[in-house]
Amino acid sequence: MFGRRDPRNSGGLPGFETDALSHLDSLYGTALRLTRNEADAQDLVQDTYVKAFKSAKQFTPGTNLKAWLFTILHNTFRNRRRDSGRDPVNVDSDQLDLAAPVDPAASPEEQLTRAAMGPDLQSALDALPEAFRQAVWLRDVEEFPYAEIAEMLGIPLGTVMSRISRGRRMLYEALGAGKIEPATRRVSS
Amino acid sequence: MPSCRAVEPLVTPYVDGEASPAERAVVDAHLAGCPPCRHRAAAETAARNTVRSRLCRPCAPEQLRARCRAAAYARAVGRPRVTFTSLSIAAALVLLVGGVLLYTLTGLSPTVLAAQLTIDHVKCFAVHDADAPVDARVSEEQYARDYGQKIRLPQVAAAGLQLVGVRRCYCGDGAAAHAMYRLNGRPISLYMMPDASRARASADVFGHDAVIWTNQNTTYVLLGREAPDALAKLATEIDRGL
Repeated sequence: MFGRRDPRNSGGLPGFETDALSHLDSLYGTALRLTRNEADAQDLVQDTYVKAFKSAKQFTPGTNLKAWLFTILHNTFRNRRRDSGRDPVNVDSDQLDLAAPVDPAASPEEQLTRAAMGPDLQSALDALPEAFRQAVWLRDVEEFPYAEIAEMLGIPLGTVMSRISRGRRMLYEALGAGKIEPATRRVSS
Repeated sequence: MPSCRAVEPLVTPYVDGEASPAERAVVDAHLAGCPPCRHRAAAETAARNTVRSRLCRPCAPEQLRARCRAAAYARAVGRPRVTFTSLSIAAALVLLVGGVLLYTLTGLSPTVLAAQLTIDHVKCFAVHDADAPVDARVSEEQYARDYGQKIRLPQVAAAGLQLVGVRRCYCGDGAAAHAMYRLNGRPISLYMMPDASRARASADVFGHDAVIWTNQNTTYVLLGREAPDALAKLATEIDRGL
């Protein structure tokens, strides 16, 4: 009866604010993958909510609130990064990277299952170029549809799928091949 | 038999189970005869399944949750937060210069018009929050209610173009509707003012490019730090979407 108060109980906030706050964990998880830094991630999420509450009138009720919040998050992140003078490397080249010749070792699934345990997977993901890391996270963890990812990042649909594909394959290479220590590999982005 | 290049864009939807039956058939047929692509699809599937099963969303720390809830309360009781945006020196100088220009909006040369609006563009993006997307139709209705004026925002499907605000800006002794966009995150403004007299022109002032044209009884100015031909192309698309 006197159990711990549910932290998700908003205690009297209007509907919009309550709904927005319900996505805090998702926003935080994504911010952590974007910034790769705990303090920056927290600042980014807080800034996102401040902007979202300020712009509440611009949200059309009944449309996808989560995607709207994620768009603000990504715009805010991009602006900060631009202000600090560090733009990411452009990874979307037109060059088609065709499949490499087959490695007759164990199946991809087996190789990956052996290698990818807990923190290694996290570090490997963090070592990916930002654009690929974002795409894989938004698709495979947050489970956004391609079209929503395209809209929130402001990129074409084809680019979304290409980044997801390349991100997944880079991750596989970093882990599945077993040659590279994910924790010590740093890719500048 | 489709080539690797032709099948490539279908592989990710295939792996995600989002491909249509026809697309599945094409990919299946290709993979059956192409070991490198088969390995590539398998690698993608393996990575996807690993991430989905082993990575979970972290929980936000309690103090972050508390701070965001506090922001919600502050907003809900109507206490506005005062934020100071620091302008770069260049932008500040531009505003200072703009303060001593006294011109009427119509009848200006394209360069002077572009200069006036560039000052306003830099100011608006520096001072006002412009990160949350807004709906074009809702903004048109709101503008009509606020200022008693009908504006037409273009229906544009340009990739990466997001509407983030619509304001009314006062330049010289006239007023213009100011639609603020982000193009792949970069600020772009579309100004609309009642004036049927202008021929199409372009200008380049204060490091910004502008394209000016008239459609029916409205003059449009598209403005931003974009390459002139990219901006011209966008202007044409916008004009078509009006």
